[in-house]
Amino acid sequence: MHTELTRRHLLSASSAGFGMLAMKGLFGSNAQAAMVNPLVPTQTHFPARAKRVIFLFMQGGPSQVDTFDFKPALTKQHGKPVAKDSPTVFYQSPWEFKPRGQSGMLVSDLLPNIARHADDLCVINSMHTDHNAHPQAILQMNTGSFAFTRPSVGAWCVYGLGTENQNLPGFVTINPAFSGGGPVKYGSAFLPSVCAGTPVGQGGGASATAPETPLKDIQLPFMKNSRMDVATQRRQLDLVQALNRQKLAQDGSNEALEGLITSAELAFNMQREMPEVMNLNQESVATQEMYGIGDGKPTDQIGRACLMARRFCEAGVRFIQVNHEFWDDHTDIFKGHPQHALETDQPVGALLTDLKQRGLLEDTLVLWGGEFGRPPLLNKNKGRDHNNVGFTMWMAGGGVKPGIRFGSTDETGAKAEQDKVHLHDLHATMLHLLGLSHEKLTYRYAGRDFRLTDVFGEVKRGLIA
Amino acid sequence: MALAVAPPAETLWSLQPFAMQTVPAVKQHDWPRSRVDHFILARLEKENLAPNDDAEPLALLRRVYFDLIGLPPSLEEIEGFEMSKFAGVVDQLLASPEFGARWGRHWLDVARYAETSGNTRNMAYVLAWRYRNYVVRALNRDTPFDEFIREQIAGDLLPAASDPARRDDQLLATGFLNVGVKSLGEQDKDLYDMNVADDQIDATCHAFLALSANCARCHDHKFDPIPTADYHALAGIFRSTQNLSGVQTNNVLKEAEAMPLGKDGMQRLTALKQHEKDIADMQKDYVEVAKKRSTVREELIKAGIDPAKKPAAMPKEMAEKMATLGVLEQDVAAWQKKLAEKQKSAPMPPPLGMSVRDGETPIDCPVFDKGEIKKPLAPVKRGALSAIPVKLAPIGPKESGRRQLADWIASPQNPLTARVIVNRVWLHVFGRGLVDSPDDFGKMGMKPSHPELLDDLAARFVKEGWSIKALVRELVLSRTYQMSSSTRSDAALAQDPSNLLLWRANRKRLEAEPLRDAILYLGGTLDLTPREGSPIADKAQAITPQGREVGRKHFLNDLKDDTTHRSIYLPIVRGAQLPMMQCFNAADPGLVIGARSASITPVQSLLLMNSDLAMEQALGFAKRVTGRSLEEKITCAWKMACCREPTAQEIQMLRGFILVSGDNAEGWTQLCHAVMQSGEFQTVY
Repeated sequence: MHTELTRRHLLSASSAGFGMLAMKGLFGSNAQAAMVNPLVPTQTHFPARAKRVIFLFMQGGPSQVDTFDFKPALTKQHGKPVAKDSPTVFYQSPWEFKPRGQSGMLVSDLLPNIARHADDLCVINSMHTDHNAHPQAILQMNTGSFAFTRPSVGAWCVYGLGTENQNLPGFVTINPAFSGGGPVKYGSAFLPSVCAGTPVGQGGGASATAPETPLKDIQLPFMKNSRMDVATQRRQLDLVQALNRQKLAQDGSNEALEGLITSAELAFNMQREMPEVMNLNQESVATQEMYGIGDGKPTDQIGRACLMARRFCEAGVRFIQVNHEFWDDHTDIFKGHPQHALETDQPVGALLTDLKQRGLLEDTLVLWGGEFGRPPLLNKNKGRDHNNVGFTMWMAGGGVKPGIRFGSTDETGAKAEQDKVHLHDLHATMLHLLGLSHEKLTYRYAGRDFRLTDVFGEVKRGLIA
Repeated sequence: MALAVAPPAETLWSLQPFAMQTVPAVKQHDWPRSRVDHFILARLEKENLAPNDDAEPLALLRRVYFDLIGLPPSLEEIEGFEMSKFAGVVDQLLASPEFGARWGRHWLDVARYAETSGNTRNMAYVLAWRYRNYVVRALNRDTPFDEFIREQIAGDLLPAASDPARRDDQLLATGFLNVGVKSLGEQDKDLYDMNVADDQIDATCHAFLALSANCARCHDHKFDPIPTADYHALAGIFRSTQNLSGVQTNNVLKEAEAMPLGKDGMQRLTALKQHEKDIADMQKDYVEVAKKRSTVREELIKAGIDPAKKPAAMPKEMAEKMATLGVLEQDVAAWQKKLAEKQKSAPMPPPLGMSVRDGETPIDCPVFDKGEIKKPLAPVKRGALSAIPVKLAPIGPKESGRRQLADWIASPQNPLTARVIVNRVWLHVFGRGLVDSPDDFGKMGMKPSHPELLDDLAARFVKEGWSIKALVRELVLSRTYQMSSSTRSDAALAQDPSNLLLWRANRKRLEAEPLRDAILYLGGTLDLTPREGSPIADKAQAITPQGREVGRKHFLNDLKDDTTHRSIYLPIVRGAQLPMMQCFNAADPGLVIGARSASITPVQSLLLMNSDLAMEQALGFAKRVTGRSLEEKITCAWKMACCREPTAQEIQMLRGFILVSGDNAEGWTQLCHAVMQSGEFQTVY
């Protein structure tokens, strides 16, 4: 069966009013039940600038003054203790900042490949978030809430927009770490379960250079039958569907059974399509090299993740998250940060190049950053600690202003000062770019309308082109 | 900030008192079999709708099996069934221990039951399973629901039952308050306490009263008559309560203790603690003697005498020291022996449970300005919700107030409690509640579709002793329950497509647990013994208490669905449910879930198509149908899965398949696997 045919069949079925997949509460529904298929593409609140999101989550917290937040004043303070007799000192970045591209944006030598895309980056230097500990900050970055179980950002996007390819999940998270909330980071909480992220691989371990779960040859569970070949399985499914149709004819109206019939067909197709999208061997050697894919290369894991992200993007997945951990260099940041940069910089740079040359960057919002940043200080272990009151993230594509730096931190880069952007503001702006109002995208659960930004968030117009 | 004024209580239907109603008259006299039927039929007649035909006997048999015990009937039961036996079957199912395994799961959804703390530091609750098993037992012995409430809110404060096992259950019941989500990574102790109280308020108010009080943490409830003062009155009760969880972290120390169980649990725990203290004391003495010995020995060495060689001649002073050393050596050896013996004589630790007890110094909780923990305002006296017209007994200065709160919730005068539970039971019997928002009886929730019926049921439920089983029995013996689910009545379908008025039975998708149980049942591997314990507790054994954090060193990272016990006994990790449970919409234990979602997804199909579970059970299923003729095998497989004879057309399709696949083990496995994937198997008609 051809994909095109399936899609057409699907669209015609949905326009005929048969909700097919997650028909929440179909069988004697509850109050929230709506007989709609949350995966069918929906009308946005206003015209969208971005159709999809790639979130490059640098778990652990990259240091802003070593990457995108140049602080010349720090040189004057360099080496001075932060307080009398404190072993912690102000510390200028050891990496040189250079003007890049036409915009002349200052980016350090730590991330040379990303720096090459400076003219496409919309760097937010004035980020801040509520919590200074990893678990809470990671959860808040991924769900908006650090204290309660709430749907993840990706789940909200799928809930709000549906998805463009019904043979694939709407939200895929690649290499997610178990730490910092585990699957809560891509869960659906009270939203329909189809909105939850499908994990590809599992992150974790000391470094992406020697991953515990390599993405090479990664397979999703239940995607392949261990005892039947495809032809036998097709014949078996034909029997199942014939029995179902027979029953449907007897039942009269039975939308749930119709849903099941379609769903089984999609599942069968997904078995073929998902591994196909995940199969990077279909890419040219040049492309694979650009992403840094290759046995033993430190870039192999994130290179695969980024290339897979592009393929999911092309295939119509709504929200793709690439996860890298763990930028938490409390000890010897001079060794740690270059290692994380080595593992991620080339793949991320390649992803931007690739998206751009395929014309995908225009309507794909790319987001890069950690759950918080680091202070401009060096502790006695030659590391930098946590900083949630000032840090940097960047966006690219998807309707953001290219080649700009937005907001700023104080003299030393410790605290967001001008045009501050709270994490809720970032989420609000991201939804806005997707054509969704963060105040209107609500879900009623237990007597209350919930939203990603709770009662907070402000769309930062200055970020939007 | 201007706040929306909460509406007065009079306007909320659910806060009005309820009473038995006059049974409405109906035109079609011969239809109703029970009071329930009168209410349903009267409403249908008012809307000019006719009730559906009665269900086929075997469809009804399958329905009542799944609804009451969550399992399909056996082949013998199917073949021996006739309608005259229906009431007997109902009684037999209500008496079956499998009733508790099915209905206990419904309650665990509401109790947001899980075996880890979730959230920031997802620590294992190694004792939580005892609460789970308590719930199963409580439903099986048909604990009156008012008592079930009292046990869960204040079981530890109730007069102790004389039977030690029942006393344990009173203590374990309070696990309800303790199995919720906890932010064990939270450093701010006040915020931690407030978040725990928040979870307890959320669970208590949603589960028993179907009200959400939590908005009132920061501002007066916008829709329901719950001011912030009420929220903090409840918070005071829970903040005066101590959790006994058996969870040790380096951060939150107050969760570390657990509740000793058994006839002499407390004595055994005391003895154990005494024993540990004795050992510590002995060790102190031992160290002292050992030190003395070392000092003497060093003095000798300093003087150039090697004590090991026992030189024959030495100064008198040194000889004396030598003698002292000899005595000390003997002392040390004696102490070592004594310690070893003492350690061997350690008393057996008592079994432990998750529970709560009143804290040492009960407090009234301050209202926090906009919920901010750093901005406490004046404290509010411990109490309950002011809008509910039930008087709360006075709370003494040394009491948390849980006992009073439990009585207040379980009061026959409480307008919400009985309505809420009757509605929950109705929901699980009929597939949808009379109030379609089972966890929200507030202003933003749904109004009842049959208000008089709900009130009549609630009033009789209370009057007749709060018996869940009696209520279930009455409902399934009604003619309303026994209608066909057919949607062939075009007129009725056009008029009431969502079946709000119950002109037919609702079709119900099997939830994750009965679906998995039915698959294991078909495969012949289902183990019906209740599971004492949990793989989470087992895996935790090898790990220090502080290290029992999900994900850490891959702890609980690899939980498998490899038990053949019923699904209620599967381990539940917050945020990482087993695939089968997650994808078939098992309740998210982060939330109080009265009604599960019934989404249909391709991943569900993939799981039934390709999982080891489905493949292996299909193999077993095929083995169970062998030893018959081809036609008989087809009929047998179909009957076991769908509880009816296959039609001629179905036989033809199945036969056609087997002729291609081969009339052999492999072919039949494929066929049985197909039957398990069919929509009919996954649905209760």
